[in-house]
Amino acid sequence: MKKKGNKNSAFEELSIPELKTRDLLLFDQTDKPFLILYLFIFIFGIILTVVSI
Amino acid sequence: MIISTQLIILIVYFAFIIFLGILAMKKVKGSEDLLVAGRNLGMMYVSVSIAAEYMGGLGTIGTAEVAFNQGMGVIWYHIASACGLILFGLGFAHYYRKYNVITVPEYLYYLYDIKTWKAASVLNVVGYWMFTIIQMTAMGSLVASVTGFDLRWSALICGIAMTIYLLAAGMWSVAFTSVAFMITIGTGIPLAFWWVMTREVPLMVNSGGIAGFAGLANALSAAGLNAEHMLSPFSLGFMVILGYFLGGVLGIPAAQATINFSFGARNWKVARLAPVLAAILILPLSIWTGSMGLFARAAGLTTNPKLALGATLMNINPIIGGIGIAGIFAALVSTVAGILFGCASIMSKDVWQRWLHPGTDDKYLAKWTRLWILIIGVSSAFGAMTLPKILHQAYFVYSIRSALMICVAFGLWWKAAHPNAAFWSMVVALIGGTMYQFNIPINFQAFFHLHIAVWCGLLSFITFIVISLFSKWTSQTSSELPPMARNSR
Repeated sequence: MKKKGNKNSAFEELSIPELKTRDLLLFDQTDKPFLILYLFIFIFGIILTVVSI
Repeated sequence: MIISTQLIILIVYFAFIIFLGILAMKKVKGSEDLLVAGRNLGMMYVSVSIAAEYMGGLGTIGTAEVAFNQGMGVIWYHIASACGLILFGLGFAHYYRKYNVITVPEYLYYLYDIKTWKAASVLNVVGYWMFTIIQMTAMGSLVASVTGFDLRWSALICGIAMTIYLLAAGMWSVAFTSVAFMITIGTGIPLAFWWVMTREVPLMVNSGGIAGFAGLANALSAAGLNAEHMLSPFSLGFMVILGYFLGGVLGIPAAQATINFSFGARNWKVARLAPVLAAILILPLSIWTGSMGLFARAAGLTTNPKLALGATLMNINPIIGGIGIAGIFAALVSTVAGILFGCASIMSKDVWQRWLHPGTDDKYLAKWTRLWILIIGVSSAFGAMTLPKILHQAYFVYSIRSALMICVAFGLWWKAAHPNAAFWSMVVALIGGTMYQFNIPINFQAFFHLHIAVWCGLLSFITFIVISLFSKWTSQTSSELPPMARNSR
């Protein structure tokens, strides 16, 4: 029987990559400004919603 | 054309976004940069990008349209969407990211076989093509409100302008500008909501001079509406709320455009947590937009529900209204960008490279991706001229797409999940959903009293279970499974 499913060369690049140190990091220094932005939007939204209702 | 302060703010803002897009162009080198931003996006970058993508035409113009017609029950739209994002983050994101996939159908190949992947590609392309049309309609509604242009021509012009903008830099430009989008959305829309509820509502003749929802209730009653019903969080009824939840929970974990950013995450841990953080940001959006839609109804600003949000923002303080319009415009641009990329990614990577032309190299793939952005974008711009009902049509897309999530979930957690079941559950959802939406041959909603998301979810779920239980596992079936799936079955 022809096994066509697994011999498609276009899928060969799909494989689970090896874990590196950077694969364990949740946050790094580049996240800091975006974290401040995130918190600002979150708090700003909550305050305006509460005072408007 | 009306030259207003709001229009000037919008033009200045768009010029700024184009400038950011040009800066991002320098980062694009190959198809991976174009489609998943080189898989190097950090936690907060991914979370604000997902939130900005999700706060699009449906979340702004669409929710205001529903609130204008049916009241504040629309708040469940974003609660359900947040639940879907949390489920995606905690349950699915790390699986996708670990396999380095670019599209959802690609992941279905891992779980099943080639025919499932092909069916998923077709289902996704159909869904996203329709979604692009809906979002461009929303964008046209906003521009028509601001400029006074005809709604149909506004939709066409916006669609073509967006396509040209996206052709420039790809995913990097979207990721790069999403931070600017999020600042504008996160400040502009709540600021406009605050202004409407505290300054404009008391000024309405029939509000009794009271601010907030109490004043809005007075004005709605004076307009001859049932204020208690319109302001109730349950004004849409149980079946619609259930439909929102099923649409969100079943739709998002396989929603290419939204989760595309997780595929571009720096690692699988970032991919898993970022959607949860994004869910928190999107929660209150329909309170803001729904209230402004209701204000337009109570104040009699327009008779067209699609123009409700734009009409409100054009009739308040011009600076605050202009910032609010820029916020909604930002929400629309980020979403149209996300879905056009989602659709073009599947067309170029799955359909074109893997299915039809396996020999296509990276350089040509980037060219083909741009060509598909052009084809999908321009055709959708013309489709937007038909002015579909925004949230109504969107749930058709969510519903047929729910079959994808059912296939992914069963493939991950049910050993008996059969490739034939995955294939047929998608086919049944697509055919059944289309028949329901276009009343072929009967009015299914009137007959079964089910929301389309419930209808499609049930169809694909039952089809999957029945076919899996009655399909035999032969040596051929096993041999056609990818190696990793074969070991786990």
